[in-house]
Amino acid sequence: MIEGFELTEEFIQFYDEIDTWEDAIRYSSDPLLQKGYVRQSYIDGMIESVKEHGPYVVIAPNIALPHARPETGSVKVGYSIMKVEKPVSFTPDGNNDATFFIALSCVDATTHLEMLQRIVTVLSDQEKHDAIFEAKTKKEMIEIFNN
Amino acid sequence: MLKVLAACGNGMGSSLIIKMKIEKVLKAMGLECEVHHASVGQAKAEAVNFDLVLVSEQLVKEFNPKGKAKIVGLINLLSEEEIRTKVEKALQ
Repeated sequence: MIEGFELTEEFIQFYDEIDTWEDAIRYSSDPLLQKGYVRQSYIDGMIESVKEHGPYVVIAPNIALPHARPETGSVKVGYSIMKVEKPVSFTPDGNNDATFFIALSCVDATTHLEMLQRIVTVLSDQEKHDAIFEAKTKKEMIEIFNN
Repeated sequence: MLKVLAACGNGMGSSLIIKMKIEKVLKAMGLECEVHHASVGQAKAEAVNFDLVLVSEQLVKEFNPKGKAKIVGLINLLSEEEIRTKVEKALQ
């Protein structure tokens, strides 16, 4: 468990389709905004960062981890999860598509590292990785991440 | 001692993921290493002090290919196999 954050159903969303990667970043981080984990400026920072450096937030096939520098407006460490049925393209060539988003609120180095380690452990576990892409309910998603 | 720099857009996300993975991979390869992480901006300035710079494939173009450090671009940051293959090739 990450100190100060517990993944609950409110942080998990499912969508059929999202038209643009900008909207996908906005939607994926909306629970963090609603719950006061980040400010709007942080979400704008996530989008700016992709515009500036390209789609590097797509860290593995189908997986995107939108995030920004803490000083753009993060408040508390945490993350929100979003699955989109239809792949969202970050580039027109389709080489940077994502269906699974984890929006990160990066605060300070230590708690943030703990959160990332947790996420990477889950994503690197083949069984959990496959379960993520098959999950249809918020409950299943929480099981995967909290166990 | 191999000096490695992991970089990403803002130095908070993928660079840390790369750091976690490369430390594991190099240890498995029996290589001693020191891994730092940074944003692309910092990394471009500091690359000269490292043997190896690991970044997302999308960021490779930001680095000088003729510099001292070997630039390795990664597609799947979670794949230790990809990291190992590419690092082995870069170190040859």
